[in-house]
Amino acid sequence: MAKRREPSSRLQQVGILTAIPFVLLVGPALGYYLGTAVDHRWSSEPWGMTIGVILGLAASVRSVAQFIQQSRKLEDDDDH
Amino acid sequence: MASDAHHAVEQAVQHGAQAAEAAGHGGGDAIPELPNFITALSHQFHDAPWAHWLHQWENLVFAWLVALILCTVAWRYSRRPATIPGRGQNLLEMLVNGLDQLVQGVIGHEGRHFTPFIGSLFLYIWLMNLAGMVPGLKSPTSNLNTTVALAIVVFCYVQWTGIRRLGPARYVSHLAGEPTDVVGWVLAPLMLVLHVLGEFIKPLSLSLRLCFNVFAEDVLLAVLVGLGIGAGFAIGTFKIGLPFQLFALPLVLIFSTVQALVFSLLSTVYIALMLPHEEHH
Repeated sequence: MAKRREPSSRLQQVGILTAIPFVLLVGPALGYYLGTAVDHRWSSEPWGMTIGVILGLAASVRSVAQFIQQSRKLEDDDDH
Repeated sequence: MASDAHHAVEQAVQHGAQAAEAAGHGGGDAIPELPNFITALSHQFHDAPWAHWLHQWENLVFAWLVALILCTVAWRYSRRPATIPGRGQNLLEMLVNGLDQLVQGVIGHEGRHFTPFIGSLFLYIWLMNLAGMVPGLKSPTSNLNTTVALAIVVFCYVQWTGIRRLGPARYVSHLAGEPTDVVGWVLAPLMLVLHVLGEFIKPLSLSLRLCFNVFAEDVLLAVLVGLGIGAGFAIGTFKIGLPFQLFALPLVLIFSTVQALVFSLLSTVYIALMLPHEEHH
């Protein structure tokens, strides 16, 4: 029979996982902002913006992976 | 005095009518907002510089007010803790214990060092969120400036914790993905950029999430108050309006608590991610 999880643990997991959409939104937006600033400073359109968005998205995906790892760790701790 | 009160009620009715109008037209230009005592003061004394100053900095004033209330309550119950605690002390001890368990659940036994920071953050955000439910007050967290300021505090604390626990050299190595082989060293500059961007993204996403949620709660309450006033006038028997917002208050109470909890929880996760891996098991 499956072990019943603590409600607080479930809430923590929900809290962590529901942050993912915002992280995926903010990463490319921040990359775009920084990349556009670089383009204005060094007249490098559209490379600054393009690289900024790609790096922002990659950083977001990396953060999402960390969140999922943390969420799974909470689940494992709860199982043991 | 009576005319002041009458004027304040008129202001509330005007705001409510604006809210109802905005809701009725699917938003429009005006964002519905409930009046607070500072907007009432600034309408009453619109020529006075102090009233203008208060209105301009109202989010900051409400944030200070909440901090003052929090400090007073904490000082009152922690000054002389009783062996057999009263109701107030019991409630505070329960809160502190719950927050301690939350932090230790994420970080481990080492987490106790971070409970004061995370606990203060939770209580401060929670009370600021709840301030929007009190007539005459406003949630400072419905403004992006407040939430970004909180995110900057979390960012600085997490970086400081990283430098203190890891040491400057290992901190930089941690940011570069702790390279151990040739591939790791080749990818280190890219990992450094990604990690530094990630360190900014995490608190920024937290602040946006908190601000948008609390702002939406405040708009919901304002629209319901406006609809209640409109309905009261339509019926013609009520001078103040129908209390439609009472139905949304339990929802706002739950969401305010959850948002404060999520902000604190994710701040705890950021700290955990910055700590040496052997520490948070």
